[in-house]
Amino acid sequence: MNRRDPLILDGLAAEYVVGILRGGACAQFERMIDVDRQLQERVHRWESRLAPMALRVARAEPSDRVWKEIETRLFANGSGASSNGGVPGVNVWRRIALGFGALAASLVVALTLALANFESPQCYAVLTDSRNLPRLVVFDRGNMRELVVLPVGGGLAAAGLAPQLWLVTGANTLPLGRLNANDETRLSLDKPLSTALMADGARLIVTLEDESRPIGARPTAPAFSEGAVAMLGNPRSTASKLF
Amino acid sequence: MTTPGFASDRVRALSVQRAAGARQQSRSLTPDLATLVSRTALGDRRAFRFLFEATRAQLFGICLRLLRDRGRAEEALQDTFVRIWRHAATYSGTRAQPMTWLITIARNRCLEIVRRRSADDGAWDEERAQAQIDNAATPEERSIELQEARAVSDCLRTLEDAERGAIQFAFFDGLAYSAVAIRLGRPLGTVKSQIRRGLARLRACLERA
Repeated sequence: MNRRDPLILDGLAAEYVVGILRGGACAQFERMIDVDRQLQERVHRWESRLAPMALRVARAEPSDRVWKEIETRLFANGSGASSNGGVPGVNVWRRIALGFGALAASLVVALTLALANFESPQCYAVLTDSRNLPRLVVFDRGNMRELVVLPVGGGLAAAGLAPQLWLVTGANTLPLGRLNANDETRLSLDKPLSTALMADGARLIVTLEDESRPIGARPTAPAFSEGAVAMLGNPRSTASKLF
Repeated sequence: MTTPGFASDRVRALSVQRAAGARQQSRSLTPDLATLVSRTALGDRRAFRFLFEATRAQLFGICLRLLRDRGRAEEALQDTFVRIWRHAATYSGTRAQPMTWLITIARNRCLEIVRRRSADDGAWDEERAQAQIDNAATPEERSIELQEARAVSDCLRTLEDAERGAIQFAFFDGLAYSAVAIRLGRPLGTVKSQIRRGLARLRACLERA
């Protein structure tokens, strides 16, 4: 069997999604999926085609035990996000103070080095993920003419998806640019954007967007990471607690 | 003074308005799954709970059908929601409807369990299996997903009976080729050809739709 033939690969993807591919053939196909993005796409397409069929299966009520077990597995040791049900705050500094381990320590190092190496940033943001762990440090350079975005604690890579930075002020969401998944990114700021960045309540969010599509005016995916913009030297800034 | 006819018309009109209002209110109160997934990605536990409440019966039904055992299905449902919590940020609205994404996670977890079983050890009950296919009308709130479901159903109807039956056995019940062949009383090679041909025709039909 020629496993490079697109028709054969598509057939295998379909059989895999239907659930009928088993044993060695299934294991081999899963190894191929791991390294072949086009094959991943074929599988995703078949998942989208066939999953709606499952809506025809009659509903059934699970026992109450299921939710309790989920809560225990996710939140019993306090490793989940906010306990009040709201969006987690960017409480990174308290995490650092509590000694939350190497990731937070690396953030301190990254932020300190960043602020030391780039002259007088005026603003910064620490973007955290759903578990309130820091994923990106963002700050300006050149008097708000450029944003520097540094990933911390691992990259942002996901197959077929590209991280995109957005500025949220009030009801407006403005695209700032695509990010390198594993490396520093620099994004130019024009006057309106730098002004918006300094607005009270300004937040930065990162979404993972379909990399094959051009950057749109609005996010099409939920925020993967987010954080408030803090002004250095501004009374509302929390940076003074660190330095 | 109003005539009885006018009054009854007015009552009917008000009643229709109230019903429409109630439907509208019901729609506005219906959780938007995309929003719930989005809030879950941000670590919002309350949204995560709503997401569970809104989808647990559908996802559990799918797991129960595939695994044929309440205990296993409940464990698979737990695993599904743990994955949803951990991977909500990878959901992209441009790639799939939220329910499609959730179903895929649930099915993938159940299929992992099915594949690990060395043999098809579940007792088979044809009548029960048929009863678990829901042919009743589904709520209008799920209209987009239902449109997709209808498109698949319409395309399935274009297949030959033998192809359609074999694909449905595999998809709904998580059966391997050999198990489908036994259930349908057909040679293994025939079943393989029917499923492969049926899937190719299904793809062609869905791409035209």
